[in-house]
This record gives sequence, C-alpha cells and structure tokens, in this order.
Amino acid sequence: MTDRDDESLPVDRDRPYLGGPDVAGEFGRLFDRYAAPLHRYLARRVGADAANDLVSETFLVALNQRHTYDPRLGAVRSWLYGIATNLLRRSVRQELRALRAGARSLDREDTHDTRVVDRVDAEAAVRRLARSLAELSDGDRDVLLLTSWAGLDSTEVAGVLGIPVGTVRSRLHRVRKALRRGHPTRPSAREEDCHD
Amino acid sequence: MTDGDPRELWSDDDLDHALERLNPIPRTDPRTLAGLRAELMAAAGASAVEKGKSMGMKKRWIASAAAVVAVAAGVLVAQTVSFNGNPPTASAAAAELNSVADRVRATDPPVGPGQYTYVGTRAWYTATGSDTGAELLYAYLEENRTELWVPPVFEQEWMQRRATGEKKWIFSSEAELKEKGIEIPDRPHSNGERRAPCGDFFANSDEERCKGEVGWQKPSPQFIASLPKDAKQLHDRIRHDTQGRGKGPDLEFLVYVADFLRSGVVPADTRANLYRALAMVPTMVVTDRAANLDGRTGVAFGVEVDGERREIIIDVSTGQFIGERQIAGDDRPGIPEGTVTAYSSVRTAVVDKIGTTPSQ
Repeated sequence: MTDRDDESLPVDRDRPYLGGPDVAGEFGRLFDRYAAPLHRYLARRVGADAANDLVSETFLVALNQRHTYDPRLGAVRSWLYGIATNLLRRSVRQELRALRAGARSLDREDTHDTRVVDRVDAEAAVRRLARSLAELSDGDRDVLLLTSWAGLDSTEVAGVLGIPVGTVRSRLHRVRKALRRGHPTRPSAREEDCHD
Repeated sequence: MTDGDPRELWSDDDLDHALERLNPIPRTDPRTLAGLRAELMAAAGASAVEKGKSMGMKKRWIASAAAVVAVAAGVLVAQTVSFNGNPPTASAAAAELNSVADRVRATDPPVGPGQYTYVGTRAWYTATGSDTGAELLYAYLEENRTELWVPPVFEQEWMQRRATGEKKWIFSSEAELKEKGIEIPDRPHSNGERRAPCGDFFANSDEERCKGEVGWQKPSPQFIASLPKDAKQLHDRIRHDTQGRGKGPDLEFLVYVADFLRSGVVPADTRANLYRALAMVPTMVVTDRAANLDGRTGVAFGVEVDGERREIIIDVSTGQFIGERQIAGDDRPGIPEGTVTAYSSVRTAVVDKIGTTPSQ
C-alpha cells in the first residue's frame, strides 16, 4: 500500500493509502519517517516543549482523520504539515511573544570565531528579523518558515496551506523582499523599525 | 539581485543566514519522540511489549495486525469460520442481495424536529503483541462501544460517546502475561463524550467544523443525494472511488460499502440501491447464512483476498445492515486461519433526546 500515482512529484512521492486495516503499521511508518523533522520545525517555531505536544496531536489528529487523506490529492507529508500548521495557530501568541522579545535564543556557536563587533551586528540582525517575523501575517510567516525551516518546496507548501502554488511563490517573493528591506508588511512607526 | 536596490538592507543570502540563526534547533531527547510514538501506537491499536521493568529506549514496538479501523464482527473468541458442504457461489450472493434490496422498506422511520437518529455500535477489535515481530505473545479482542446521536439537520450538534470494555483472549491471558512480566499498554484515547456540529468531532479547530471532507466514510446529505440512483452507475462510482486502493478491487468495494453503511445514516432507498450495486461484484459470496452478532443473526456477504475475509451482515428479512466481521487468513503468526479478528454489531433507532439510549 504505497504510492500508486505515476504523475511526477518533485519532492515527496509518499502517498500511502491510510484506510487499510493495518493502522498501527502504517502510522508507525509515518511517525518514523516524519516525526523527527516535524518536531525540529515546530521546535524552532514554538520551542521544544510545545513542539512535543504539537507532534503528538498532529499524529493523533491524522490517525482520527485518516479517511480524509486522499493520496490522489497530495503527498502525505503535506497533509501532516497541514494538520500541524492548523494546530500551530493555537500557539501563535506564544510564538509572537518570543519573536517580539527578539528571538528565543541565538545560535552563538556560529559566531564563536568572529570579532565581537561582527557578532553583535549579527545578533542585532537576527533580532531584527525576529521582530519582523512577528509583524507578518500568519499565512506569510507560514509560507516563509515552511520553506526555510521545514525545507518544503512551493508545491508542498501549497498543499500544506491549501492555496495555489502560484500564490505561494508570489507570497514568498513579496515576503522575502519586504524582509530584506526591513519592513515586513507596512512601514511601522515603532522605534526599532525607524531605526533601521 | 539586491545590489542595485539601495532600499534593500539585506541580500537574499543575508536573509537566509539570519533565518538560519534564528531559533536554532533545540536538542531533542530521543526518548521524547519514543514516548510520543508509544502514544500514537496505543491509539492506533498496536501493542508495545516491554519485558521486565525499564528497558528505556530498548522498548520494542510491535506493529499490530489490529483491525482498529472499524471493522468488525462478533462471535466467540477464536471462533473459526469454515464452509461446510457446498462451496458458496457468487451468483447466489447476487440473487440474494437483489432480493434483499427488494425487501428494504421504501422509507426509514421519520426523525422529527428535536429528535435524533441513534447509532449504537458494539465492536470487538483485535490487539496483538509480539516479541520480535515474529513470535506472538498475546492477542485479544477488546470491546469498543460507540454511540452516536445524529440530528435531523446535518449542521446541528451531534454527540458521540465511546468506551472500551472487556477483553476476550485469543492467545495467552492476563495472568500468563503478568507472570512473564509483559505489560499490555492501555488503549484509551478517544473514550469519552464529545459534541460537534456535522459530526466533526476531531476537527482541528472550531472553524474547521462542517468544512471537513465528506464522502463514503463520512456521508453528508449532500453526498448521499449526489450518488447515482441507478445501481449500475452507483457500482461504477464506487469502482471509480476505490480504484487502486486496498488489497484488491472487490475487497475494497466491500470496505467502502461497509464504511458507508456503518455511518448509520444511509437512507432506505440508497441502501437498497447499494445492495444491488454490491450484487454486481463478481467475487462476492454468501459466507455464512447464520452469522451471529451479539445475538442478532443475519446473512454474511463477504469477499476474500489471500485468505483474509471481510463481511457485512444483513438481516435479509428487513434489509437492515446489522454489522461486520473480519476473518484472518493464514498470514497471521499465532492466529489460526479462520479466526474472527474483528466484529461489530450496529443498531439504529430514533430517540427523543440527545444522549438517551433507546430501550431494548
């Protein structure tokens, strides 16, 4: 009970039939394949503890809704990340609080050998990015982070969010451009933005 | 790309670099994921086998052959089903199904305003555990009771109540496992009571209720109304929707029909039509003339693939769907071929209040 679609799928061809009687076997396989990367993605968004709950809930929801997964419509990875993305919405305030506080933690190892002044600049840049991410709409943030942190391609992101792939591409382009300019959505009167 | 635009503070690389460094991936204890997997496996009906006290990460997880999906049937533990005498024939099943279709009453009992359709299912599903995946350690049927109250208007509030009950041992026993120090994981999860419009009890959020997909497994009035009224066309529609799925086309046909009937909301005329469509499935046979489900007896119509059999049981005098059975083939270590591995019985009634159970 694996793929049966011949159409070419760019990234993930895994389209199992989940309605079979061996529920445990199939979901065990799904978990082994997708839980760890999903956990890493969610942990970057809301922290490791919340990610534990979200991973757990994602798979339980998937289990309960397995009959709604249609392998003809998309790869199972997009379906799972779609469930996770919906569940993540409940934690959005927590995520935004952390981002506004200027990033949960910075990757200091990376800057170990650089000069102090560079490191300070780099940390400031990451903090600014964090605050900018908090200004994005939920949908824009999802597109960006599903691409950048979860490593999904545009087709998969479209499947996750249930929007056309063209919309994903244009949204990603617009968001990245805005972030590069330091004005994520609209010019803000807030100090930190003016400073930039 | 950014070089020419002075309004841009960062290049694409700068942005990617900042994204990379923001919220670095925290260290995850692999035991956390193992725990989450255990939960999932328990919910899926699999069994974890842990010998002795703490094996930590060495816990061995066994994918179970459980038929938790919604399968069913019921008989005594380890009852085996065999054909005596004449082998069943497909044409006999077709004739029987067609005459059953004729006997389905034209309409169902009306559900008035404020009333509910009650669908009570008592199902027994197999849970198994094996040591290394090869040697069976235990197998039992566990009782699962699901009660559903369906409002007359689909978008109104539904209610579901689920509970697990007793175990019937097929292989080994509670005492024997205790002696060996083998723990059987609980399988709780969806027990309890829940309410939701459209029967969307497991929607991700309130906003998504009534927006979920409907179909054979979750029929809405619109879905039912959209089905062909002609039996041959209905047959073709099911063929189309099951194409490429399951273990075999005829088996999957039956699985979809069972999913649909199990909902308890298929109206009489559609049910009759469904039986006529089922009569067109070539490998469908009458497998048991007196299949007993919790004391209710009906005729079993089944399809077999590689020795594994799925059946739906129909009261041929009224055309009422009364349940399902699943019977093991020879591919399940430790479980004799012909063992009933799952069964369920379903009854429907009209009740005056949500949450009340029909008498009898």
